[in-house]
Amino acid sequence: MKSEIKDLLLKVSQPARYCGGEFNTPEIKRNAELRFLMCFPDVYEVAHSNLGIKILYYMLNERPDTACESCYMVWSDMLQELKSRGMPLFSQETHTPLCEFDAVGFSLQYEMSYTNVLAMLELGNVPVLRSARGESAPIIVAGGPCVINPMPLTDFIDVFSIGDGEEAINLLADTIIKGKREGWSRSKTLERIAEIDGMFVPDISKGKVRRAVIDSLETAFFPTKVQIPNIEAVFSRSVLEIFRGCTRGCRFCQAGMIYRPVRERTPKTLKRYAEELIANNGFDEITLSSLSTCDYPCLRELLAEIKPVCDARHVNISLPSTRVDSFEAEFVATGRLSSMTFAPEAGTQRLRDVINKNVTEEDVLTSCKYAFEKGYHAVKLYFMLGLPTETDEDILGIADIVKKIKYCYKQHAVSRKPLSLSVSTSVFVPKPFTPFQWEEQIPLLEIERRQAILKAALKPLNVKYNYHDGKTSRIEATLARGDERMNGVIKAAYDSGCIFDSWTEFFDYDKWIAAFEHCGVDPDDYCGEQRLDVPCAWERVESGISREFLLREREKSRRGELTKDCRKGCNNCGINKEYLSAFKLNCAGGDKC
Amino acid sequence: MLICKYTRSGNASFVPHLDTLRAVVMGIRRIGVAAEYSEGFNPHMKIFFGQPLPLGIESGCEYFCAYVNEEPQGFLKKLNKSLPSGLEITAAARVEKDPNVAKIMCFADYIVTMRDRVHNLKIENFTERDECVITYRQKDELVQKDVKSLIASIKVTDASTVNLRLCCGNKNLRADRLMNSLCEIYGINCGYDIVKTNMYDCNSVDLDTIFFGSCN
Repeated sequence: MKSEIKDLLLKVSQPARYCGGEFNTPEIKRNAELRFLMCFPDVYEVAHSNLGIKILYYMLNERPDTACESCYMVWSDMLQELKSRGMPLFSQETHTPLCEFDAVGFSLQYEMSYTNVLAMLELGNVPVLRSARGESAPIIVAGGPCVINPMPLTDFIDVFSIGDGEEAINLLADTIIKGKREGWSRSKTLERIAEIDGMFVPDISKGKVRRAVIDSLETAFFPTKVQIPNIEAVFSRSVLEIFRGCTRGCRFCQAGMIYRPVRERTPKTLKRYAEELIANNGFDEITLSSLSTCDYPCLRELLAEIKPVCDARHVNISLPSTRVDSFEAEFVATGRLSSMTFAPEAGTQRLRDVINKNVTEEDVLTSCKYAFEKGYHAVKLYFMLGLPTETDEDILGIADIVKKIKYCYKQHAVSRKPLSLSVSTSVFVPKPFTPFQWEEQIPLLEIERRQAILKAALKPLNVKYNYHDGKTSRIEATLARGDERMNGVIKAAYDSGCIFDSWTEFFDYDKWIAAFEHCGVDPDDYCGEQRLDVPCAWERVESGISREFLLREREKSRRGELTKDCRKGCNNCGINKEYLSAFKLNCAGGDKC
Repeated sequence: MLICKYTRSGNASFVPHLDTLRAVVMGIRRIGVAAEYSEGFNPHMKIFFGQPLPLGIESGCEYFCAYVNEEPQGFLKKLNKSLPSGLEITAAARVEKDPNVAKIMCFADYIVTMRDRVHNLKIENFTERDECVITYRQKDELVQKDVKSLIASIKVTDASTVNLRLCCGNKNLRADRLMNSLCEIYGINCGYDIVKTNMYDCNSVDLDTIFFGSCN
């Protein structure tokens, strides 16, 4: 290691974030034709919990002509040290400055990470504004769920890779390499990239841009050898993606819409991956990841296959935050007794019907009863405040559920420990390509009033109550539904010092509001109810989910009518027309294994 | 049960103690060796390390004791293929019971290499003072401490090399803290790198002799 870097690392907290040398780091080819830098705009421990960048990182490094490295947002102390030493942000693997790569990709998982993208570009000596980049500047690519609405970032990003990245990234690499070989100009390279399915290139792409969808996950690349972070990641475990997409159709849920159709892997393939993950990585836990794991029709069969393998190597199997109606009590009881997590989202059946969350109070209580009888004593409940049509009665309904769970524990607990119950609420943020994409977000004062109601109702029940800050949710809404005017606001917010907006200790609402004022943009344009008669900013993207379906769902929600799970029959959301091959391949099996 | 000696160098010297432990545990899990686990709801692999080494210091003489029943040389070879860069097992031997490295370690030798040649490197006479006071920052507080009793020896071997023998273990003096202060006191500003080379018990017997005897 160079002394220059060693001295720098000795000055900052957690230097292991920056020193590199992670186990399972692939060989970084010295004479690669394409040097790609995969970035995540948050700290190391958060970045290492993300599966998407790992898939793309290993895919690129498997190519004989490409070397892919990684880079994460540095913590504030490192940022100061780099600036004061005049050192550019550099890659983990070879300590190469960001500006020296051919292409730099950012994974955008949440809107509140946008200012960090600007910070990383600037620290890496790349002009923040796309228009200021010269021929030698890297091509800045962005992917991940947030780019389903690319409009707020069109000033900063050269190429948006919308949808599944597995095929798109290889085509992107091919194109950049061809351009380098044939000496194309930057604009010619960008024009060619715009021809790739799923790529939106501002100023060049014409008409609607289709989201890229891979037909099958079974044949798609999956990394079973992943970098082991030097310090523990937020989620420190092997991730086995069992399927992509969700058939539930919860009306607030963006992921449930924009990852359609559901594409499953077979138990046979998953078993092989599980064995490889355990042998290659050494985590003591493996998580069966998806948007709704308990809906996987072959879950029992899969668990029966992998349980012996995991037991033999002291590996615990975890199911991510489960939907209560499909809680596999008998299975989880054989694992480690941790806490149970339920997300009923709303306090009354009426409101759960409005959002199409097909969960009843009875489902919750039945699951709790099973779990308590198996020795569980900790329950976490997640709800959302400010959902369309919510009344105070719906909020008080949350306290009712809490009371019933406490009673259930008294009746059925076998553990001698007191029940540990926590309630968390987030604030509803309307998201593009959901049936609620036109709904208003309740004003800040109203958010705070509703939080206070719930706080008061839960106080006598002696449960822990956590809630998301309303101000963050408000800015999140403006970014999620933003149009091109938001570019200026993001730039102004960044210039005034906003970074790490998803971290409460950094988030500065007043600076954001000042940025809106500076640009003459009204945040209520994005937080308020959206007009039905004008297209939404994000309709520049073809997600595959038709406007008619979303409008139909919106009407049904207002009548409190449910829409059935897609596994029980097609609801005609538009995927069946727009992505016919993927639909035919994946949506025919129903709910049978 | 196996006692293992390992080196920590390069990037690995920036990885905190508990994460180094985790890296070794994961390495053992990857090679599929059967290890003993603790009882309870969250069983963890039984493996015990010495006292933590400060960040940024390289070492050729760290030890851990793993509750595995393996042939030492085979285990060493397998595990070395499964460790992150900068960690390497250099010796392994069977032991009857856990020697408790953290408890018996008492002194350590360090080689400090100055990044430039320093004329008149006179830091040896520091120990001749009545009080050897060093200054360092701990949790944003400036601490002053007399460390005379914690220094066994300071020897300058040439214009860019200093050998230290310091207390290391329950009574401990961090080599980086001492060197920082010495550089300030004697006006040296060229920077330096520290490598820990040997550890001893309270009778100044090399831990290698205790654990590996004549085979090392």
